[in-house]
Amino acid sequence: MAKIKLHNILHVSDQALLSVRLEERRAEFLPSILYALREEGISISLIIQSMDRNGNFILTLATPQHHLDWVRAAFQEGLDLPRSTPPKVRDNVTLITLYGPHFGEIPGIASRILSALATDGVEVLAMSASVNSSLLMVPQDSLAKSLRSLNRIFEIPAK
Amino acid sequence: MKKIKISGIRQVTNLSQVEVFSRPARLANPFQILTLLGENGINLEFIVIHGQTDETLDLIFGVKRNSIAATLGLLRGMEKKFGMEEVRSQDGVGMVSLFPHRNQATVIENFFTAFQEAGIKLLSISFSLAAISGLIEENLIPDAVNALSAYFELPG
Repeated sequence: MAKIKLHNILHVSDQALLSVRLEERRAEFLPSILYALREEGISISLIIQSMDRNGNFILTLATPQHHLDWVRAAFQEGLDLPRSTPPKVRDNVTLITLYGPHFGEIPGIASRILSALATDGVEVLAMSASVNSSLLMVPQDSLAKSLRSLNRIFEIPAK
Repeated sequence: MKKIKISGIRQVTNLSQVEVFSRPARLANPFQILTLLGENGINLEFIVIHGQTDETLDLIFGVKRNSIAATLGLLRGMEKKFGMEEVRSQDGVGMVSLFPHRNQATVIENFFTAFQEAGIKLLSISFSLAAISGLIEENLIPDAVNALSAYFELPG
C-alpha cells in the first residue's frame, strides 16, 4: 500500500495525561480553571472533551509532567471533586502530532495509524483528529517504536 | 477586553455524531472500527478517543449526514466482535473550528468561555495542530460564531 504523504511528524515528551469525569453543571468552572493555568504559564498540549453515556463531561488534557501536581490540584479544587474521585493520571507520556495535508480527503488514515501502532504493541492513550492533523498520546517508553510504526505508513515531507 | 487575532473560523454542517462506548474488559482496539469505516469509504470529519486513563474507552466521531445510515449499518451487529458496549448517534450536528495563530492557553480558555456564555453545549471537542474544533447542535452554529467573535478577531 502506498505511503501517505505528510508535512511532518512532531513529538513532545515529558507530558502527563489527566482525565476527569464531571457532572455537566460543574463544567461552568472549567473556564476559570483554564484561566488559572494560563496565569501560571502552564501550557496545554492536548485537550479533548466528550459526554459519557450518562451525560457527564469527560475531559482529557495533556500538560508538562513537571506541572502535573499544580494542574491536578487546580482541577480537584476548582471542580470541588470528592477526594474519592480524583482526576485519573497517566505519567510520562508523549504527544505525537501528524500534520496534514490530506487528512480531510482520504478515508481510513486514522485506522491505518491505529492499526500500525497496534501491530507493534503500542498503547494509544488518547487521540484527536480533525481538519489536517492527528494528535496521539502514547507512553513515553513507546516513542521510538511508535515513530518506526508511523514511518511505515507515512512519507515525510509531502512534496 | 482585547480580542485574540485568529486565522479563521470554519463551519461544517450536515454532520452526525456517533459515540461508541466500550468497557476495557471487552475492549477491542478502535482501529477495527475505524478500519471497517475507512474500507467502506466513510470519511470522518472529527475523531476523539479517550484512552485507558479512565474506566471506559470512548470513541466519538463526526460523519457527513449522508453517511450515517451506512455507518450505523456497518457497526450494527458488530458490537460483540468489536467489543462495543453501546453505539449512539445524533443527527443535526455541526462543527465549528477555530484557527488560532498558535494554540496558547488563552485560546482554549476563551473557546470554552464563549460557548458557555452563549449557553451552547459542546458535545465534544477535538484539538489539532492548527485548530480547536467543537461539535454542537447545527442550529446553534450562527450563535456559536457570534459568541466566538466576542473573543476572537478575524483577519480583515
